[in-house]
Amino acid sequence: MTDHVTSFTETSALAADDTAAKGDTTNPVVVYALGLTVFLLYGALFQWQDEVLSISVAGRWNFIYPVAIAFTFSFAHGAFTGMLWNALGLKAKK
Amino acid sequence: MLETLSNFIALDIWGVTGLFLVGFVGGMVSGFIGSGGAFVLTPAMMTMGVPGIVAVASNMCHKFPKALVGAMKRAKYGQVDVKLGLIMGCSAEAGVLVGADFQQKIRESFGEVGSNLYVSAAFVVVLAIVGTYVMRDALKAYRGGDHNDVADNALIRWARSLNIPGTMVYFPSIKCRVSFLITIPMGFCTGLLAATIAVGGFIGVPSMMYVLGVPGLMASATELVIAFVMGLGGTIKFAWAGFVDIRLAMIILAGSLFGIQVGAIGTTYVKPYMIKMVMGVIMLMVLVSRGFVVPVYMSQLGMLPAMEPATMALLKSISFWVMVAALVVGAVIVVRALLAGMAEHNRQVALAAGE
Repeated sequence: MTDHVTSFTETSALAADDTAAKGDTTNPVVVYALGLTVFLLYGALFQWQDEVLSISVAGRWNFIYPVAIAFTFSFAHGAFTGMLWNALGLKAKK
Repeated sequence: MLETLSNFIALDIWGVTGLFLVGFVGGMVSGFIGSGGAFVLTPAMMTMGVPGIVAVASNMCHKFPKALVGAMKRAKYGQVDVKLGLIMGCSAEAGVLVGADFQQKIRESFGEVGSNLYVSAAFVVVLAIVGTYVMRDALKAYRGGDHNDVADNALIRWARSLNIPGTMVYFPSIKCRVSFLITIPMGFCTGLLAATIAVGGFIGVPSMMYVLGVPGLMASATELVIAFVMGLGGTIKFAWAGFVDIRLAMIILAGSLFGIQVGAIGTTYVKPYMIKMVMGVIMLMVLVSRGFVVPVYMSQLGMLPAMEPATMALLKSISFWVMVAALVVGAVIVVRALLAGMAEHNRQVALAAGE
């Protein structure tokens, strides 16, 4: 019985470690997908830079455009850079 | 079409690469000490031919998303006092508006040179006082091997003992109730400085540490929330007038989001006094940088004898490169501290595994 308990505890601990390790591991597909999204976002910004610029500098309520662009890029690129460093082994100390 | 948008420059590969790199280094420093980096970006953009107001506006527009990402990252490590950041952010926003108006009035009364002299003088006075204090504190902790991140002085004890009914707020970073009225001048001065020299954190972080007794690690992380609030408000103000070059802002953001992650991760490995050390070193180097241009502006205003144009250009150039060096030195300290901290951590993990 004691052996069973010990064995169960060890198995649980190993499973917990495994779960923690999985949680800490970045799925490469997600990194690539986010990287591609960021690439497309920047590509679109510079492909249509004249149009984007003329809309965003029109002033008054058009302030929404640069603010919305900044939020969109920060979420996509912020998630990408975080996952990329993680995948490269640069992780915070637990 | 760009030709019709006279305030906005055409971009070349060198300009883009330069802004990306400065953004990366600035982001790393911001992720670590909560601010910094912005003071190099505005002059760097102006060197590329971007008009001053567009450079300030675009810098502001990269700042708030960067601060948002940095704050979210550091919140994961339990370093952010969101309540304190938002409360100080409100008064900081007021400081930004007043500071921008004040700048405008100085420009109208004394011209561009007068405005430059005012900005440089503000740099010198604030950085000399606050930078020296922060550096002394960091050196004291370093020499004494003091790992306690929390300052203790008469001002902190007074601030915490003050009880004004109806204004008391519990701040998790200091685990006690303090009147939010105390945070108003702190936030206001942070905003005032941000509107003047683009780095409010040089007042925001030290004021949280030495007035409220917030640990340095948490003060630098909370500053990112204040920077987000100020940056968003400032961006709306400038974008309302049509001065934001979103391309420049997003190029800088591209680099700074790589950097801010490194800086934020770095805070989990280093000894607490390193935050103060990096901040102190950068502040004192920027102080030296500004010291070089003050005589130039004073000479242009007739407060000092006239200077040769070549001498003025030389002093301005030295000032700019000392400022760039301040950022690079800050980033090098961050990277070295991060690598040393990671090596030490890995050694301890290996030792623990061997036992």
